[in-house]
Amino acid sequence: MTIFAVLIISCLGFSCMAFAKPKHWKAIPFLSRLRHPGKRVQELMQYSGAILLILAVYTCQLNWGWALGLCFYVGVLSIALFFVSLLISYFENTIKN
Amino acid sequence: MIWLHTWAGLVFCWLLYFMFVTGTLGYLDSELDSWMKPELSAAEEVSLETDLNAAITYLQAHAADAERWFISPANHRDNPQLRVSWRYPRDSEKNNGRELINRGTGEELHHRETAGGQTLYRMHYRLHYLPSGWGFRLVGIFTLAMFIALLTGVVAHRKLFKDFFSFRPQKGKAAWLDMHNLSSIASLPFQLMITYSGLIFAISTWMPFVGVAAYDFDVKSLRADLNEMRGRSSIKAAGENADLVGMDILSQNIEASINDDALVRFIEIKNPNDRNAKIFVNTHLSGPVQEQNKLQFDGRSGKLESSKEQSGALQTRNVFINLHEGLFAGPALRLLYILSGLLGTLMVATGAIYYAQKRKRPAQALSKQQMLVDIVNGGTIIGLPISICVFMMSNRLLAIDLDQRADWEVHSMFLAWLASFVLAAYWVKDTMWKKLSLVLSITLFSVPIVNFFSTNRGLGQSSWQNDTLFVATDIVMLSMAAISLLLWGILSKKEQRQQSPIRSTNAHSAVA
Amino acid sequence: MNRVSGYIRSYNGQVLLRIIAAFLIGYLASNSIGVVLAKSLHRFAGISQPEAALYASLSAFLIYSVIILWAFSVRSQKKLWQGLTLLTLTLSGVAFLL
Repeated sequence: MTIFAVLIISCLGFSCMAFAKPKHWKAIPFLSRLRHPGKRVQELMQYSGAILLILAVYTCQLNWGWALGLCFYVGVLSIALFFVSLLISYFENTIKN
Repeated sequence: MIWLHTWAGLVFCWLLYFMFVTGTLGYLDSELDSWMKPELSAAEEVSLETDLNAAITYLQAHAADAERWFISPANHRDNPQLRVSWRYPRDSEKNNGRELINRGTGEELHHRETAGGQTLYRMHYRLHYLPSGWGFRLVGIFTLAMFIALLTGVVAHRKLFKDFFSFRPQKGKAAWLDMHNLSSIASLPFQLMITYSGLIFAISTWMPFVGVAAYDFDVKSLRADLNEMRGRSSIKAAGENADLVGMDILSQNIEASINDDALVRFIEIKNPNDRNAKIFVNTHLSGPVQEQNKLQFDGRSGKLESSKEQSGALQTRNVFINLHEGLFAGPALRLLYILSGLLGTLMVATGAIYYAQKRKRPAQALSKQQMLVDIVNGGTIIGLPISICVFMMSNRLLAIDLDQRADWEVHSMFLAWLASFVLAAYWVKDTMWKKLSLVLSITLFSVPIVNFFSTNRGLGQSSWQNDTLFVATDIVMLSMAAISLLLWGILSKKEQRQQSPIRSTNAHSAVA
Repeated sequence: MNRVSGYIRSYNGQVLLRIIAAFLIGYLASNSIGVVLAKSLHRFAGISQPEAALYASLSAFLIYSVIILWAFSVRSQKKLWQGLTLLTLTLSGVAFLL
C-alpha cells in the first residue's frame, strides 16, 4: 500500500513543479481559466514540489530502510515523472485542438 | 557531442533493443519457466528438513560420487520446485545433471523439454547462435556504447532538466524525439545503474589488465586472493569415506544461524560422503546491500564453521550486481523493475525511429538506405515481440517427444523474427508499421488461445482454480494485444487523414 | 600516400582518427590509470592488495568512459593525441615504478 502513497506523493510533487511554469499552468482543465499566479506563488509551488519529493523518499526510508527504499523511490519516481508528463501533454494537446 | 550521441546510439540501437526486451523479460524468468512447464504447479512450501531429506535421498541414489551437490529448496519464486544439481570434476567422464524433485515420491518430476525463460534471459547477455564467449564480449561493447550514449545524452540534452515536462506529441518528428527524451530522463537513474552494473559483469572480459597489472602480472596469486575474498577456499577431498550429517541436525543448525525472515536459497555440499565434506549455505537476498549470506558448515558434524566478514570492495561490487539482477525484489519492486526496463525499451525504440524519421524528406521517395533502416526498425521493434510470442507458442505446439525440443523452440523464435523482417521488407513502401502492429496483435492474442486448447490451464479453468501465474500471463497477453490493436487503429486513422492531402498535392504537381 | 593524407584531412578521416584515439589509446590510458589507482590505493591508503585491485577494476569502465567523452569534446586533434599518449606513457611509467 505504501507504494501507492509514494506514487501519489511523487505525482503531486511533479505536478506542483510543472504547474509552477505558466506554460503548463494553461494545460490544467479548470485552473487554466484563472490567471497564473505571480512569481511568489510560482516559487512556492516549485519548492513545495521539491518538498513533496523529499517527503516521498522519507516515506520510502521509513517503510523499507535506505537500501531497499531507494530502489523503490527511484522506480516510483520514474513512473510518476513519465505519467505526469504524458498527462500534461495530453491536456495541452486537447486544449490546442 | 550531439553527433556522437546519434551514432553511438543508432549503430547499437537494434541490439540494445534486443538486450532490453530480453533483459526485461529476464525479471520474469522463473515465471516464464513455470509457464513453459504447464504440467507442473508450484510445490507447497514445507520445512527445510523435508526438502533436504528428499534431495539427499535422490542425490545419494543417483550421484553419490559427484564432487558437488546443489540443493535449492522450494520456498521462493526462484525455485517453485525442489531442485537438485550435481557436478563432477572437470576431467571426469560422467555428466553433470539437474533435476526437479517430487517430494512425495522422491523421484524426478517429469515435464516437457523446454528452453524456458532462462534461455530467453540468457540471451540478453550472451546473445544466441554465437560461439560461446563471443556473445558476452559483444554485449560488453554494446553496454559500453550504451553507457556513453547515456552520458552524452545527458550532456546534449542538459537543457531538458530545467523543464522535463515539455512534450509535443502530434507534431511529427519532434514527438519521437520528445518521447525518447522523456522516457530516458524518467528512467535515467535506472539506466545508469543497469548499464554500469552491466559493465561490471564485463570487467573480467574487457578490463582484466587492471587487476593483473596491479599484481605485477602474477595471475596465480591474484586468483588465489580473489577466491579467498569470495570465501571460496579450495577444499580437497580426503579420499576417505565418511557419513554426511543427518539432515535434521543440519536444518536445525542452519535455521539457528540465519535470520528469522531469511530463506535458504541453495545449499552446496562439497565432497559429499567424504571426510572433508563441507556444506555452504546461501540465503535469499532481502535487499541490494548484501548482509552476511554465506555460511559454512562442517559436513560430518553439521556445525557452523565460519562466517567471514565480507570485504568492502567485494560488497561494493555485489551491490551493483544485486541491483542489476534484482533477485531481492518482491512483486511490487519487480513490477517497478519491469516498468523501468520497458521505459528503457521505449527509449531505444523511439530513438531508432526518430533517427529514421529525421532523415526523411516528405516530398522525396525513400532512398535505399532509408528503406533499409525502416525495415530493420520495423522488423526489430515489432518483430522481436512477435518472435517471443512464437517462442511461447512453440512450447505448446511442438511435439512433446521432438528431438532437441528446447533448441527448436529457440529456432522457431528466430525463424519468426526472420519472417517478420521479410514482412517488414514486403510492406516497407507504405504501411509497414500499421500492418506489423496488426500482426503483433494477432500473435499476442493467439498465445492465450493456443494455451487454452493445448493445456488444461486455459483462462477459464485457471481463473476458476486461482492459478495466478496463468491468469496473469493470459491477461497481460490479451491487454498487450488490445494495445497493439489500438496502435493499429490509430495508425490506420492517421493514414486515412494523410491520404487526402497527399492526393491533392499529387494532383497539383500533375497539373503543374 | 596523397590519398591517405587527403582522407585523414577529410571529415570522415578526422572522425576515424578521433575514434581510434578515444577507443584504442583511451583504453590503454584508462588501464594505466586503473593500475596506478590500484597500486597507490594499496601503497598509500593501506587497502589490502586484492581489495585495491577490485576497487580499481570497478572504476575502470568509468575512467574509460570519461576519457572517451573527453576525446570527443576536445577541439584540436593534435592536443588530443598528445595528451592521451603523454598520459598513458607517464602513468605506465609510474605504475611500473610503484
